[in-house]
Amino acid sequence: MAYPSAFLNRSVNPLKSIVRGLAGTYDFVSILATDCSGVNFESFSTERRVAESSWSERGFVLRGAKNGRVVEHSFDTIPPDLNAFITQLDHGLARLLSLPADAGTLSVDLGETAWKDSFVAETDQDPLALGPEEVFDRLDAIRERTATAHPLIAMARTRGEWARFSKLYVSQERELFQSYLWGQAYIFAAARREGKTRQTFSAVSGRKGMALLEELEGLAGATADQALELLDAIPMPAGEYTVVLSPDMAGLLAHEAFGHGVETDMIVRGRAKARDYMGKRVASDRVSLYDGARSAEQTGSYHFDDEGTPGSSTLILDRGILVSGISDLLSARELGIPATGNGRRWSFERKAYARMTNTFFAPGASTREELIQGVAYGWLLDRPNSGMEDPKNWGIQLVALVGREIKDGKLTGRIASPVVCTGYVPEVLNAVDGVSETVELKGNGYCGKGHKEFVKVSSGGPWVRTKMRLG
Amino acid sequence: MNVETIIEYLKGLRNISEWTLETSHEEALETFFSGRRLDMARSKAITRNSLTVHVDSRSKEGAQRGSAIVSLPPNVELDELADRVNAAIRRAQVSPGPVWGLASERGIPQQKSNLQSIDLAVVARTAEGVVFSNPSPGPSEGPHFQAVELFVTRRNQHLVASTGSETSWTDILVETELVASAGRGASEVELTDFWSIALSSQEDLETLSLELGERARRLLHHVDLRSAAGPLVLNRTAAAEIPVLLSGEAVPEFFNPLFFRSQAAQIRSGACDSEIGKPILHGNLGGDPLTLGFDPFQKGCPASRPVDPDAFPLRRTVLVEKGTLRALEGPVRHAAALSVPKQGTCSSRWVLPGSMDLSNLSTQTYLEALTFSDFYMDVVSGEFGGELRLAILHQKGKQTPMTGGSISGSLSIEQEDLRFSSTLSRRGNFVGPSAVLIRKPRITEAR
Repeated sequence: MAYPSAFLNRSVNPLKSIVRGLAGTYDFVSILATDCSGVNFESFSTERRVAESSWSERGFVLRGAKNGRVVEHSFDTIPPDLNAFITQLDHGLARLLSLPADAGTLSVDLGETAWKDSFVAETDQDPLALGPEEVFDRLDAIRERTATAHPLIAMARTRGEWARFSKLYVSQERELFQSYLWGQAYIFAAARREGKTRQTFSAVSGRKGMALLEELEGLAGATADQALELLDAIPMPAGEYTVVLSPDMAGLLAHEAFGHGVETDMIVRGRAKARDYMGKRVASDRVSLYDGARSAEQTGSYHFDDEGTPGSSTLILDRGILVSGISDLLSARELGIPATGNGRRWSFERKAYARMTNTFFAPGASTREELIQGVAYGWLLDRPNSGMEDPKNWGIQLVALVGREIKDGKLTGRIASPVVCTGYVPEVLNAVDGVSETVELKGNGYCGKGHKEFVKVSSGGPWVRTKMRLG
Repeated sequence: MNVETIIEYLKGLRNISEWTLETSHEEALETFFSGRRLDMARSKAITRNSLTVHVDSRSKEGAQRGSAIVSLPPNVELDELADRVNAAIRRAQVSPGPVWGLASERGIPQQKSNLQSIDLAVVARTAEGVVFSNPSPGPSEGPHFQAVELFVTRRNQHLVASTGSETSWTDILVETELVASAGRGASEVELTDFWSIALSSQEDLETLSLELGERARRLLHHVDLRSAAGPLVLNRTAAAEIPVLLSGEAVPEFFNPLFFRSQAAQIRSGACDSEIGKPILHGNLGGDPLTLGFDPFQKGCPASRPVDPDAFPLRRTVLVEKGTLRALEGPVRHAAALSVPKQGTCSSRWVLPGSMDLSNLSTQTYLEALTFSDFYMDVVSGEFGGELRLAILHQKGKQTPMTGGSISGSLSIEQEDLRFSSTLSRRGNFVGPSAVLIRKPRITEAR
């Protein structure tokens, strides 16, 4: 079988030889090979910048297990003398296995069932195959349209990034290949008046090529308008409010609340309170929440994860009841539960952890307008900036760039920025009393485990009404 | 493919005006613990090659130079090397800017290192010993480490430019993620700490032990305080008046807008309107004098390096002196475009200490913000905020630990009376005041 990656094609036979060569010494051997490359285009009024995508990587990670103990080695070159290299790898793994473990080691059985598969995702016009001029011409035009929307726009820039991921997984039982492309594009606009500068952005993403720029084009005027609006934003008056979350903000809430909170490696480490709440109510019955590489077509989608487990769709909250976590292979085996295909690595150089993919609230029956009409006084929150989880203590922090005041069921036009949203996760989710009928996902963000191990994810949902403390 | 082959290939090309090639050989040992149980050990041996090509051209606007960066993995074959370099050339051709030249200094001193012979397992074992010399996990309610991750990486770095400039340097980067817990059952709480240090010699192992030991002990102390903390609830009147002492990871974030406004790239793009010779911020700037800059040789900082990616030799540089912008940090092409002196790119930052003696605060009423979920600072607007994981209310000599709620504020308000501690601390790539006093914050209580 020929794969659409010359590097993986010439690596596949040596990798199989390595697996065979080590299989006699180790109970389990696997290798993940990655060939990911992308380009980041940025258009400024003063220059164009082009660089390789930070998601580009190419190399191998070897996993070996002996008597239940698991070790890994990341490398990027296979020397011509394969037998000598296999011996070298064996010595390296043996050295890792001999490291002192004063308080014992994790012990799991990584045995697999047989599976061979190949998956290549279709895309529209691939920007990586076009000349850079064609991409820049589109980005320049969108930037120019944003920059000239109003005299107070002091800076506009656009950015498009596309990356193609090709991955090959080889073990004693499995040979898997996948190739897919995702893209993300942005408009940034800054407005300035009397020395005061405010910046905002619009973003699109997906498993899309040049089609993304068509979507972005339609956002130029609105982005400039929002930058102007922010010049008159007030500081958010501190207090607890009824809030209507945009799909982007709802996605951030889903991600931080019961995305990180149900990662099973956190449960194994005694770091997630969810362990004690399986089968119990943690949210109102209007709340259902999913995660999965096959739950949606977005930047968090894939066919198999970085441990050779098929991607899936996991129902985490079923009408308010916590029913499942998301798992990497090691923590699933330790807990004795099925692996959900959420074992992901920042790159071939890093360890796999239980990570989110596409995380979102399920739709309800209301409309956005009905949710706003039901608010006596509160805020509509949009443009998520950042968030942070606290799975042990169920605190949450979300930062929104834009808060729009709602009074007597109507938007007043008053804006607050930025808005720091906090709360106790079960209280926030139990206070959900309205959910709109259409789900939207965005994959422009990335997800860290704490402050590192970044992976590409998407999140989203419908419009959601609840209560949060704002400041 | 080795570096020499790549260089020979580049020397044979006529359509590149100049180039730089930065290579990093990394070998690493990583260990992951649940409590004290070793969950996994990993090793790594990889090479990164990053090539920047500069292509000159002439158009009706005059002479121009375009640049593009491409990675050249060590596993590329010759035909792919040609494809990648040609793609970079095409990208450089469509991104023209003003003409500038690479530095041609050839006398950059090579940094000697005694780190090649050190066994990474010894460094990892040292770090492990420092962390686990603290209380062990178990059924006790006392503070302990719930999870620990250790990353030890030897980085052999080399940069060569078409001008003949060449330098190399080596360090060992040690990174830790510590997760500490205290309390029992539903009342158990945790705090996390991510820390890093770059060792430039074997003698720095002692610094590693001292700094990591202090971080580990402080984290255990803080999680113990959090387990005893009540929700952040203040007297309503007091909440409007209580100043907040920022410490920990929030301090470098607090200064970020000032570094942002000192960057040539941001000024060139129009994202900020600062000018050399003028105040770094609009409006009144009062309190402690604000002086900051970068230092490529700052001890312990992972971003310290003798040259920047354009092979520009770096030196300690004052960017802002007593509130006035003196120089701009960033790639030399931006300095050329702005017609200002070149300083180069460096993210190893410093801020001079202030006048605030923290011991003098003990009689005052203030909220000491020790740990945030994720302190947020908008570098463009200077608006900031974050959820508090641990704070201490100091009131008439009494200290009350609190958790939850949030604070927010604005640099444009605080700049009128900035107060920094007289003590310094290093946090990652930042060496500066260990605390900053926020006089007019907005505090949102936990209930």
